[in-house]
Amino acid sequence: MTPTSLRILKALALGGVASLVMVACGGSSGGGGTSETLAADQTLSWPLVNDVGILDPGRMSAGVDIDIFHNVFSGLYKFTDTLQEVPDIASGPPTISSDGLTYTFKMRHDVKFSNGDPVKADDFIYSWNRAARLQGDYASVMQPVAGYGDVANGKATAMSGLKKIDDYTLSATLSAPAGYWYTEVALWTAWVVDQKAITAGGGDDKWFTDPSTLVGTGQFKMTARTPKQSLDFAPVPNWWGGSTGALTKVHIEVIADQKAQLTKYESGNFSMLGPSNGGPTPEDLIRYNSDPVLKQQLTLVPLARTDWVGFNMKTGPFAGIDAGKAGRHAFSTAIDRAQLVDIACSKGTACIAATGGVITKGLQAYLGDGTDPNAKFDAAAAKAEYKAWDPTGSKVKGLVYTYNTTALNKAICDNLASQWQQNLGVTVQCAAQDRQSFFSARTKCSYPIFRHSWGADYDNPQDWFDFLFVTNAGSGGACYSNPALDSLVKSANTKPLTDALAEYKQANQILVDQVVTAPLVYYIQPYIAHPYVKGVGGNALYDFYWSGARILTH
Amino acid sequence: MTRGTASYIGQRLVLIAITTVLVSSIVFLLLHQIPGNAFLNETRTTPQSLAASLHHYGLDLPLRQQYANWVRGVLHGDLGESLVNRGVAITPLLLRETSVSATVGFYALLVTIGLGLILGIIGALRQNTWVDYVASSASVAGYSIPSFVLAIFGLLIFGHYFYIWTGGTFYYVPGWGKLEQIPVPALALGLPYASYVARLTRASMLETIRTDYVRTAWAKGLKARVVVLRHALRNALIPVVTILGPLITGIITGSVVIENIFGIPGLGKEFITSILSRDYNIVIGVFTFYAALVGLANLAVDVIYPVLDPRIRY
Amino acid sequence: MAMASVPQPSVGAVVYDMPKQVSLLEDAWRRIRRNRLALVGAGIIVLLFITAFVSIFWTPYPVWLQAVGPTYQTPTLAHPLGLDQAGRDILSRIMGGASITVQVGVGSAIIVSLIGIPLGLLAGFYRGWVDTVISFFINIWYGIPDLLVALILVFVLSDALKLIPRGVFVIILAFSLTRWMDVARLVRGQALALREREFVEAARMSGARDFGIVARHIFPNALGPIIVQATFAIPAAVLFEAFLSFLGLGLPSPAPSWGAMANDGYHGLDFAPHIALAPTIALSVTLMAFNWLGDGLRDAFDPRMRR
Repeated sequence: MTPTSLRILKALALGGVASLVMVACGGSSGGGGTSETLAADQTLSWPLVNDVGILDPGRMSAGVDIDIFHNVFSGLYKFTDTLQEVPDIASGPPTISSDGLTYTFKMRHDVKFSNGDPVKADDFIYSWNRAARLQGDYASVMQPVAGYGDVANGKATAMSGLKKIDDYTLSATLSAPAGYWYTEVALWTAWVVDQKAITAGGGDDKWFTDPSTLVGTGQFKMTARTPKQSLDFAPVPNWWGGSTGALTKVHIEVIADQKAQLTKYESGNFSMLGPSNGGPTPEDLIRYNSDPVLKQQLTLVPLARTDWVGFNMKTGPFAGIDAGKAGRHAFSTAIDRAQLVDIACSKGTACIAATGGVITKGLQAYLGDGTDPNAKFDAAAAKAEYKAWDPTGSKVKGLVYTYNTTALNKAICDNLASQWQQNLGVTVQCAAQDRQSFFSARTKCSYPIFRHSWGADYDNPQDWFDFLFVTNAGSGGACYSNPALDSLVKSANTKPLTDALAEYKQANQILVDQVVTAPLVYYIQPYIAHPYVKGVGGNALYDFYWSGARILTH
Repeated sequence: MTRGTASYIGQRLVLIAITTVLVSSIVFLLLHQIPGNAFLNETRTTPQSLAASLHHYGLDLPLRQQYANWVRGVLHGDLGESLVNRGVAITPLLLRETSVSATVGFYALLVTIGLGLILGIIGALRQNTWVDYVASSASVAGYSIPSFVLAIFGLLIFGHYFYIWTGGTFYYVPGWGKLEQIPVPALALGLPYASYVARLTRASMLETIRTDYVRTAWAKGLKARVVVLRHALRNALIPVVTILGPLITGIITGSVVIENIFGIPGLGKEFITSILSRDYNIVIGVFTFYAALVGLANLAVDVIYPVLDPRIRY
Repeated sequence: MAMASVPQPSVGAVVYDMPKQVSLLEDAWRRIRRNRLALVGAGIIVLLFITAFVSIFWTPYPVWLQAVGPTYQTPTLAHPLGLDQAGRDILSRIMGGASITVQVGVGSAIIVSLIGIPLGLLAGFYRGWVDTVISFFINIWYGIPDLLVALILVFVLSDALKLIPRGVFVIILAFSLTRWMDVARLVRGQALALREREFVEAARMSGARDFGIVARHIFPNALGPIIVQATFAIPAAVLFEAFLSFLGLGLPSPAPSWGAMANDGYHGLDFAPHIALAPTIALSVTLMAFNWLGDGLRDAFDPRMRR
């Protein structure tokens, strides 16, 4: 991609175009051509707000950790910058049996770990069984595989469905057809790890604490780590996949204060801000977006995450699919999302209004801009509808909206409370909770009205419905139960995505018709980078691979 | 060091160990009563995943056994593993951060004592003149203005306006690692307590200066005046040493906010971060460190005291 | 000549110059009147109380109402202190914050005294094992950063155990539970000294009961330092609340606590300094006023400072 088209794309992105536009012209396909002069110091650096949590792919769960370590580990498949699933260690897509139950994977023969150990089918079988055994947050990625239950419960150490065919071929037999499993097998839980390194490094609990045993198949390896302070990475020499790009070092620092981060960036000590869900403070974002010079350093990338107001469908004032519908609808239409986005999202740079249903714009099964009637602001109608539904105000007396503590959630709740007070005359109290107790209580459907949010793990609507909206969904919080939706989703789950799309969209429409949620905003990730830093940024789900980044002379 | 002093120090060390364990036990029990747990992820924590995590940290054991394990660990210097950052040992982490905090705290103490002495001496020597009133008003302002307010202004002036006034040549980057990053936070941390020192110094110097023999010596001339000042100063330091303990405690408390604002990776910042992320193991660890630090600081003060005032003997 | 206007005593008569009898409080009042700083402080405090009272019934705009105008707007005639990052009127929120300040400050001073005074009196008057127990608690707290313990208390009581909702009460409670020792220590010292005085001996010999002695002789004579201590407890409590709110552990949003407002504004300091300036100035002025008043009261009650 030429530099000119890069500038055009950046301008489009800055205009707030909410499409999955890929900004980097590098990616893994190589640099921008001979017109660029590389600087002598090819160190890429940026800050983190919180240190990485879990470095073991078998247990990894935070987006921040995944974004960093997908440069250190890899698996059979990966996602490109345009979120297409392509082979990584695999030599091609899997062969799927006609009944949809058996997947046969063929691997490349030349893959090596960063310590030189060769990678074979045994290593994948070991890694996948290990993930099932460790029961990290995303162990459920292996759940469709036959024999998973026994390993998960500790009754077995190997899943019966995994078989080695030869040194470079393995097969997985599922217990039931699951069209979405092909997507899941590209996730981090299925990355390959080196059994020898783990044993040498002190076992499951210690191997990842020492950079020399934190061994993967990715383009980079970790060279140093000071907990809660910094992480350093360097390219793997003679990487099996070819070039590792222009960088010679990656340096990440933990700095909790966003202002301090930006100051350090502006003095030239960081290459960029934004990876690992970082970014500037709301005020600095506005400042950058409104200054013509600074704006050129800013790139806004839509993120695959939606925030919405959750209503308890089982107990409380909004309960009952039909009984509470008027209340939910009134509350949703009483929100002027333009004002919300202006105030809570730094004048519309950190997020945009959600007008097309709960699945984020740009993902599969998105309903389309402006198609959600529940997102249309009408204060007068909302107030009338509310008054008809609750004339005495007894239903919403003492209503508390609970959210987990982040700056954005607080800003959103304050604005919602102000609007509900102003437009409906209803007093809603904002209660902040820490993440853990909040998630724990919300999963048990303890809150009548609450903040909910979902960031897609992969671009497949199954990720949304199975965890949020089917009966007894694991992360629902609303205790919503609709057999019609359940059967729609169940049927769609067995099919490959292209065939299932229509059913998923139908299910999404049901959510809209029944006002199950009041979607508020779709997220945007701001990236700020110096003009001489190229090939950085991210897409809706991940930060780009470091191999595409390069530092020009400056 | 006499045998008496050595045994006194030995006794105090044992007392410090006991107090440390006692105080952090209180925090331990407080935090372990909390229902719920530290491990839920928004997306997919399954019951098995939760059980695995609880088991790893020993949180599925009965409380008494958890406490016993913890006390045993503390007495060996092992404060456990972080709940949020897997595999990170707490003791080396906190040791590293304590050295950072101690550096800032030391310079803050220099500011406190240095500035306080200067203000107090000026106020005493120029008693009841406008200089005295300005100095004492500055003192009151100093301990009235919250340290985070001072820090905010410090950041504004040094981080933003200096940059503009010097046309971009001087750039104060909050953070840690360079020598020039110490003065501003040390100033913001130490200033509020300088006024306590100033007040004490002024009162003590006034007492000394007002005695007859000093007045006579003062009248004798410059050389005598220098001797008088040195004597008065030494006497003024004694009450300052008595409040050194609370001073250090105050600087520890103040460091919690200052480190957060200036992005200094010290104990205070860790305290807040671990509370907000519900990393209870670290919260308990930080408190243990604080209790030990304060105990050791008070011991150091009590050891220095007789050096300054020979009338004290243990 | 001017001298003739002075009345001369008759020769031979001995005239005694009797000092006018004055109560402790009158004496203190007279002395404090001369202390200009203390008076300025008192004036500011009165202004604070009036603002706090008024804000309960009226503020120019509701303290919670967002988007009153464009966000971050600098001061204008309509909004003399400007608008904050959510478009709320800052002047209204400063007024609301005055109310919170008064509640936290006065509430803490009262509770701290209610706990500390009786315990101090008991320890000082009875001595013995009562004193040992109470002194043990006082001393164990001496070496701890009490503010941090109070912080953990707030967190445990509200967020973790959810016994008391986040609000002014839990802050007052946590503060008082860690600061009553200062009051108790002071009162204990006073009681220890006063119990040896002659009027106590006299009262005991005339058959007065313990409670009467404490209430009628010891307590009133300790009143001066108690008042001073209570006055100083107020800015300490206000500072604690501002400190908590600044760290995000204080009152729930959108309570217009000055500390919370400073936290809101501190990130945009170069972008919109007026947001952080108003609450920090309000805080500093209020704390200074209480400290001036406390200093003045201390000097006024101190028998050694007769000029």
